[in-house]
Amino acid sequence: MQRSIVTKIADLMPISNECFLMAVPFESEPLPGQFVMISFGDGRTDPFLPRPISIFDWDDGMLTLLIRVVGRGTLLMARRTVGEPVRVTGPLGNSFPDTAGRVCFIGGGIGIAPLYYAAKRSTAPDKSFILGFRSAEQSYLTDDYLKIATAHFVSDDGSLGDKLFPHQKLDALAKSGEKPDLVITCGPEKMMAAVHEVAKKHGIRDHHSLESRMGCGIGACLGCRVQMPGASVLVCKEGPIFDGSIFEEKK
Amino acid sequence: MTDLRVHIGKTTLKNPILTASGTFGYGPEFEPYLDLNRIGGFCTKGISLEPRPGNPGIRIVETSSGMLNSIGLENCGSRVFLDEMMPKIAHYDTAIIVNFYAYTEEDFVKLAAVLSENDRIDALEMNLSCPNVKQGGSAFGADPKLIESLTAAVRKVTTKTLIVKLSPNVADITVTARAAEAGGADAVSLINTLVGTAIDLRTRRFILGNKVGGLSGPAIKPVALRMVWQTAKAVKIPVIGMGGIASLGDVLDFLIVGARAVQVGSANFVDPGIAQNLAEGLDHWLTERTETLDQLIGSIQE
Repeated sequence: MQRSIVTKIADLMPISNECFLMAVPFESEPLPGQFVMISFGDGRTDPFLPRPISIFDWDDGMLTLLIRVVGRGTLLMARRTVGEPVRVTGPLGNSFPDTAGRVCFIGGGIGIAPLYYAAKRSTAPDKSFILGFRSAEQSYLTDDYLKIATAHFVSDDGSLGDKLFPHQKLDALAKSGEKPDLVITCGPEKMMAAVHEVAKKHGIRDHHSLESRMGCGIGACLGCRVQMPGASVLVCKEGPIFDGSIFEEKK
Repeated sequence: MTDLRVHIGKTTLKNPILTASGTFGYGPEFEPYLDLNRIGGFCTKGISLEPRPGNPGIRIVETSSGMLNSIGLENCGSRVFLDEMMPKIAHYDTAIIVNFYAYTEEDFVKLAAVLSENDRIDALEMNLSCPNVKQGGSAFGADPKLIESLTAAVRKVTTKTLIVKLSPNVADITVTARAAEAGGADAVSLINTLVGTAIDLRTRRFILGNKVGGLSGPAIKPVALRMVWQTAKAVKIPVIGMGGIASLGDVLDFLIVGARAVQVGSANFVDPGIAQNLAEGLDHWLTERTETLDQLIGSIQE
């Protein structure tokens, strides 16, 4: 059930120089791939708008969010303390598909956030991750992901796992006989588009989590509409999950 | 419980809390978060004769205590609105106010006539002032003569409550308000957004795809409150106040300077249930003080 409530920060934990985990009690059980809108919940008007944040985990009424500090709003959120109020609206948007076969969850940077819960909840008998970071130093939560499924790490400088881009790793896996039936991605748009090309080449079904500036998250402001190669989409309402055709130039 | 009913033209609102066009979708989006039957009414997204895709590129940017938007009046068009949206919202026991806009007087009239055929629609709110669309309403909204003639032309084709929404991007809003009144409007609503912009320091580019957008949110409230106060003194028809309402205190401020009803705008994005809370909060506030709504409205001490 969707709701908008003011709850209290139960835990706040930095996990890298720019990312932190925030846990808040939230009763509504989300579907994998859904997101919530987060704001301060204390009556302040600056920052004004809520922020769309993907769901890192939900367990028995506790919602955990993995947040990267990208601007003033997220910086102020990172500096808060346990017990302070926070408004949560959600869970919002559609969800990742599941498969009875082999699924690979591919994330780049902060895009790994929704893949933990997605993999945890997936009923697929064979699950793996391809997780890309800039470097080992800028990676986080690698042990947590390893607890859920096999994880292939890649990095831009080779300091963590293979010196490959995530789509190159997918290509290598597919060629070595570990071709997934479904890939689920979240990360920079270029990464997702590159994964789509590889998936198409190998005949793999692919679904992607898009990101956009949002005002409301519930389809009211129409602020998050983006023109993708394949279609113009309202990310919060029609997504955030779209199949690979979104990256195919519309003829 | 205090009697919160207010009359705007032919329409009786059960309470003076409305939601503003462009911030409340078509209505059903908010069903999970509030009981629409508990608010005075809601203004739909701005409807045009034909569907409009809106503006390309980045459409919203947060600013200090507010936001800029350049959505570009994206909407499903009058046909889809009447055939597909109205059946989904007709059952609400609240006033349905359809915000509408066009680019020519002829289309304004045609659209008002089409919308007036729908019995469930309570009121029409004519949008003259959205600054987002390049060839759009700014010209209508800034010219008192045009406002009067356009209002009169629309008045001829509708018996519904006609509200004219005014732009703050004018030298003197009481002049445009009086023009709407002279043209036969039942009420004026103000203020629409203030034209603004924001740039990206790193790239030295405008952030919004449309370069400029409409500023809304608590940042504009002092300007809105001043304009509503001036307008309420300048016209005899009801004034519907809006601009940065985000708390019960804001609602009270607008009513005290003379607004007969208020619209909650971008605060709906932050708390999608806020309109119902404000309606209930106003009830409690008045009940506690054994004050009537009539006593509150226009009670500013000058």
